[in-house]
Amino acid sequence: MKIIHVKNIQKRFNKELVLNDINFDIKGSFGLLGPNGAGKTTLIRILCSIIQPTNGEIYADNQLNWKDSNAVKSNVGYLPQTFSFFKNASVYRVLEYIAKLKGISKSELTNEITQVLEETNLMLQKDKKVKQLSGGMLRRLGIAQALLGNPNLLIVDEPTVGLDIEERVRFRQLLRKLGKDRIVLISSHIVEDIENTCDHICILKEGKVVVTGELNDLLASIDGKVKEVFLSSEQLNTLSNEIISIKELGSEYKVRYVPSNNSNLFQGTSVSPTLEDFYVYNMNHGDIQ
Amino acid sequence: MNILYSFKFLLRQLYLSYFIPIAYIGLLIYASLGFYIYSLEGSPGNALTSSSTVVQIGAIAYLLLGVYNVRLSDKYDLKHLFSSIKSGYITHQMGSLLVGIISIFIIVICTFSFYLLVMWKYIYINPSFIVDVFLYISLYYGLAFLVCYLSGFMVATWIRGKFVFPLILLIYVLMTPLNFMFLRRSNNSFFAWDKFLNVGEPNPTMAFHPLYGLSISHDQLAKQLLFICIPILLLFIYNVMHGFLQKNKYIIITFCLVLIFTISCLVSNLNGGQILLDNDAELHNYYKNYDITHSWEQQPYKINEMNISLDTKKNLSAEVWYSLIYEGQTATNELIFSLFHELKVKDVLIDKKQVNFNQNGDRLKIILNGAIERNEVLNISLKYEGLKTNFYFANEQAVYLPSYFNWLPSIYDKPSFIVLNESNLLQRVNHQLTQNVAYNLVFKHRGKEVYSNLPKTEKDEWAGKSFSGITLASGLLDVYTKNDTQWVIPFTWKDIVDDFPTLEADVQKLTSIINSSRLLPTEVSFPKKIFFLPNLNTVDRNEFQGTWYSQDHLILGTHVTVEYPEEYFTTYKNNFLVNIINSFFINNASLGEITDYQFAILYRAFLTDILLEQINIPSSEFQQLLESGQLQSDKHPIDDLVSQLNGFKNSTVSKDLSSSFYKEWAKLLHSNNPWESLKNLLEKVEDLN
Ligand SMILES: Nc1ncnc2c1ncn2[C@@H]1O[C@H](COP(=O)(O)OP(=O)(O)OP(=O)(O)O)[C@@H](O)[C@H]1O
Ligand SMILES: [Mg+2]
Repeated sequence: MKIIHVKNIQKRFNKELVLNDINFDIKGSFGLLGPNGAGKTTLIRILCSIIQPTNGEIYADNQLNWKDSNAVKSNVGYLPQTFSFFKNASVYRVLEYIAKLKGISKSELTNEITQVLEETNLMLQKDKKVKQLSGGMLRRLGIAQALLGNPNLLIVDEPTVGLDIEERVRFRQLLRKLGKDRIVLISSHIVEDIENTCDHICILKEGKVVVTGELNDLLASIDGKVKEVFLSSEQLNTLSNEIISIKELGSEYKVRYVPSNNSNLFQGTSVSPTLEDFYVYNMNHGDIQ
Repeated sequence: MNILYSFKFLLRQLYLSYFIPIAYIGLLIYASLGFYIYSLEGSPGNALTSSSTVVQIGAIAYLLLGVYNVRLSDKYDLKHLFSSIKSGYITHQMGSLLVGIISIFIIVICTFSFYLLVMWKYIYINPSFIVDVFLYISLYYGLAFLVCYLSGFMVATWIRGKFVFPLILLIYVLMTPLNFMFLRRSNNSFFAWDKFLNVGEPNPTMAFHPLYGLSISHDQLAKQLLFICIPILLLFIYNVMHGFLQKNKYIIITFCLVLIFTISCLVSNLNGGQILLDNDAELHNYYKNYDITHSWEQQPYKINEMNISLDTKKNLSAEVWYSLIYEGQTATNELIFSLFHELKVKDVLIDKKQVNFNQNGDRLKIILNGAIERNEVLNISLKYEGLKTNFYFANEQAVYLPSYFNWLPSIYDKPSFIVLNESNLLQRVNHQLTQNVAYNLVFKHRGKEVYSNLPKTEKDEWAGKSFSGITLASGLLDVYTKNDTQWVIPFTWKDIVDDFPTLEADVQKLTSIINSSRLLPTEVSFPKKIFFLPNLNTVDRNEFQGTWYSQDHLILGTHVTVEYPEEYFTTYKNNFLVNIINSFFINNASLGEITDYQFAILYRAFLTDILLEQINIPSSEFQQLLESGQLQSDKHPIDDLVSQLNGFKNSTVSKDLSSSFYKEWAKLLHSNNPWESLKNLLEKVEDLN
């Protein structure tokens, strides 16, 4: 499986239209970026075949169609946005339980578990109880269980939620590594999660796709549009709308912005755009597709 | 297989929570402790029927466990994770359910084993009771807990928030034995909601019934299954609605099958048969308001032959054929019988032709197609069914249809009971047919052995001539022979029989006095067949209501609350003698009809004192009767009469039982206006002295 086509997906909860005509292709390491409430989790649940879309279809290049939810389920590994488990169960038992639920045969069970423990670097923790795990370990356990059964598609909802900076970095590395052998879909509202892990993205806002494509192409599209300037706090107020990020440096502020009419006053230097620039730019300026 | 693994995994999680295993073992110990305590008292029946607190505790425990098991997965937000795995959610859910089911199964096995261990010495003689106990524990512990577990599980699955807990509490209050405190409104309620909803012991306030036994009829099972199916169906719907179960034809077929089963359980419950109830007061109230204005008469019918086909699948259903000779002086075009009002007549045929009839209370009027003359013979066939009172039984579990009860059409145009105006006492009316009838009874009873005064001719058949009607009894009974006398007696009372000679000796003394002084028109003796049964209910304040004499059998009654009395006859000899004397003189249909029960009570008390004095047993029945106020009446002031009687009692003449006074008095029981006549009789005796 190399590519998954998401076509005209629509999802209603009661009257509320949560996803509206979603179209994109998932390939490689794929990032789903969007603010809170954009519909990421909903879309992911559809991709995991936990819920059915109201309209639209999903299919992969290898004939797999999302109408056959059982087939989809055996191809997908899923780490939910919030993951925890019976607190008295040991890491090994959690994995054993999930492996059993996934129908992994007795003979392969130990092998598979050892493999995912190694992949997620949890070997030393395998006898620890869930309640004794740190947030990072728990998240890795989440990945480990998702990897059981060696799925073609790994879906991770908010991978770094609740992790400290170091753990985040480590976790992103893990995801990047995992993305080599399979499609990985990562959803987040944190740009760094995606920027360092994914090569394709889709930005979602209020249930609609804002933009989708290869990360590098997208960044190239705003090349030269982002500038950086050092400003005092009074000057800062005049910019407000155009600002992408502000960094405090002593009495001054280093500001990245996208110039518009009233910001031409400042002589900013052009910088090469980052995903954050692109994301904020699209949130503020981008016309929804 | 994955379900089993899921079960194992979850069981381990519960085990690691400490609190749950401790509560579970606590429940087992609590249940066993109750059995142990009752085993010291020798009460194998009450050990179960009085164990409603076990159900009460187990019910709340399992309701909460059901909620807990759902909430545990919810707490870790596992629903989405599991549903991303093929059949993951369902497997996990089934595993959770299995935790409840298997733990309940273990409770059933453990409590049953412990019960056997401590009660073996009382129950080994009756293997069928051991089966009953297992069924009882399965029904009222096992299935009751299962209902609770499934309900808790289902409610928590459907409802997320805190609202679960009031709902659980509501289920608990409505569906456990204590629900009668909230649900029992009036005695005449049209539907006994408390009985219907209660999944525990149906009669938590009643002692074990040594004849009827444990409530384990099919209706009870159907009810438990109904309440098990409801949460299962609702879980089914939840799973399908939320996509955890794919809507395919197998799922739909399974759902429909469960639904059909549920509905059939409900239907079988709604028009269910007889179950053991504790609502004595209902019958009492019925007869308190009974219209007794019309005159009661023995109908001039002679019956030579009666064929009865009886069934007790749900409750009594009977087909009766008999030939009747009309002996009235004048022609008539209707026949009057008495038949207990709960027995609803379906069909009456006379000489194979359908005739009209109506049932008004206990009175059955058959309207003939044409008038009949004296000595005309009619072939009557009747079909009827019913019975739900707890005074008499006829279901697959127990049968108690005594000869004095009008479960067969009676030629005495009287109700089955009356309530004495003055004392509010419920009085059974004797409907025993004292004609020499050739009976032929076919009775296919699926329950325990049936005992009758009629000789058993072959399997399911009893036949023979009798002057005493038919008595049928079946339930937790056994038959024992002692000194040539056959005893039909609850097996839990077996040892009472050993104590019988004490009573027998005194009764023999009494009967020889009665016979030699010719106190009765016919001689009396202890019949060779005795039905010793718990036939007195809590509303029966007059114990002699339970003991009935007839030529070929004696029904010796006592309270249902008696469970395992040692030296019972020795301890309560006086009571039994009083009751037996009453059965010779009052509860004896061959003497004729009692016209005034109050008058009969007076006669009984007075005569009992005199008789017992003769065999040197102190007795103060007369005094007690006066003190009880049961004789007070507006219709006939009794003060003068009482002082006359007291005077007579102290005279030496009163000791002469062969004097004509007692015979005359006895005749008054069957005459009109006995009070005035007794006064005159006493005056005559006084004059003689
Ligand atoms: N089961 C549901 N029923 C009704 N509405 C829902 C349901 N699930 C999600 N929604 C609504 O759909 C919208 C999108 O929710 P979703 O969880 O998909 O957003 P998200 O992008 O994952 O947000 P976050 O970054 O906060 O996780 C929200 O408005 C939410 O209220
Ligand atoms: Mg989300």
